[in-house]
Amino acid sequence: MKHILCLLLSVLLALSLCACVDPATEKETYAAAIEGVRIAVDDPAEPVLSALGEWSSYDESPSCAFEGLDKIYGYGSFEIQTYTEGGKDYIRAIYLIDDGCRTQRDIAIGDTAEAVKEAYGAPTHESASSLQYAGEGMTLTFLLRDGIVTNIQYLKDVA
Amino acid sequence: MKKKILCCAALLLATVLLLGFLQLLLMPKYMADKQEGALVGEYYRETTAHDLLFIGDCEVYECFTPPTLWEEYGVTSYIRGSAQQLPWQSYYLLEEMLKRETPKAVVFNVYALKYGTPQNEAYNRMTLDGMQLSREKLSAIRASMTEGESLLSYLLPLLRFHSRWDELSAEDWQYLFHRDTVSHNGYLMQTGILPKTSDREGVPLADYTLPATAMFYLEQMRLLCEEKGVALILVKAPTNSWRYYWYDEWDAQIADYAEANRLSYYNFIGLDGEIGLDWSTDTYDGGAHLNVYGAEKLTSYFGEILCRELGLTGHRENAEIAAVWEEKLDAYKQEREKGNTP
Repeated sequence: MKHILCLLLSVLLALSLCACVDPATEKETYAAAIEGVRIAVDDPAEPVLSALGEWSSYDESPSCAFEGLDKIYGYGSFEIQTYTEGGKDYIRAIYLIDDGCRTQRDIAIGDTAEAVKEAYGAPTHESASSLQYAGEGMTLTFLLRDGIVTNIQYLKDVA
Repeated sequence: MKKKILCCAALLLATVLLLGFLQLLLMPKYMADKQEGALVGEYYRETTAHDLLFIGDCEVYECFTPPTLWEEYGVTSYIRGSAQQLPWQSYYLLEEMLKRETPKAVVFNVYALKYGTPQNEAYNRMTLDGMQLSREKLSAIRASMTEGESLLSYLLPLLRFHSRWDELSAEDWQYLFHRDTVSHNGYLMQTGILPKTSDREGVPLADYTLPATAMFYLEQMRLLCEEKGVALILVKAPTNSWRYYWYDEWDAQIADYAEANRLSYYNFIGLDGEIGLDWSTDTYDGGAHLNVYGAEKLTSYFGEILCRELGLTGHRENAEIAAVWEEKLDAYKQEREKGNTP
């Protein structure tokens, strides 16, 4: 009886003190390729920002309670939003906001919903206002108005 | 035989004490850093009832100041806010509070109604770990858990925080058995100034419909308040930065809901002139949240509305309540005077 109890308590103590296994990092499915620079959600921001050069607009905003800033860099036809983790910035979102740049599968603002489906296949979620394609840890969204693409977003999913 | 039983009992007790000690040591303290995590638990220190209870996310604990409501109107209040407090968390916190007291009104900030699913464990912890064990806490945990979280890890936080042993700091030892009070009845003071310089709007969304789950919990809050005879007042704080953007489409849905259910809804966005807000001096983080100077202006403005709408006359004549609140006001003024800019 005593031995069983000791064993049980030891196991409980050991379990409570053992180290956690970090969750495996997810690999992104979709990436944007803009001005020859490959940009993917959750990639480190620094190499991307260096390759893209000077931005035309910049804003930043703190998070509630936690350290680090969300930053948004504007480049005319597209914007890149970053988040901070472990003191380092990563890509949270890429927004294509006019027809000055195209996705890797050659879709741009102004194209039709049918063109998107031809390029990307059946969407994960479809409505009158959007076509959404779920990647790993991110979603590629084509916003629509009257069947025409008005905005393209590569967005990190909520953790 | 008796000796064996005594040995087993002693061993069991020692293990429980050791695990209890480890749990106290390893849990985050939220004292010097991330003080938002201490807010929910501070409510239990209250010794007197309140006219008003505020619930919601950072937009309540950074925008309304209970000491100002007392000083200007003699009204007693408590803010049970927490960082990214989700609608179901607000509901269960409200349910817990209304078991303890019956205020004249509950003020709910609507921003978090944008969330329809659990978001982030770290934020969950800041709201849920501070709740005392209750049916409401269990329900709040179940509704809040993200993938991979377990109910047991909230009931026995050691299971979650055991790996913090290599992050322990002096604060963990200093606050092993007690916590300081970091808020002023739930208001977390910020005295810094960082002007708002951007008018950037939020990015377009694929769907502007507020999530059904969020609206369900808003309805539950309404029904609960109705059952208890408490007025439910909806507000949207005046902050509206690109990252925490309040879309017109969302606003219309809340306005419709309020009208259909005869609730008051005050959206303070765009009322800077009436309130007296100056975004070059009244925010500490570029417009995402108000600092103490902005919060006092908004509280003063809203306090007048609340007194008029609810017929509040204040408690200045009640010596017992006045004594409690004068002490709170004094502590508030001292921190305000001293400032807390890093």
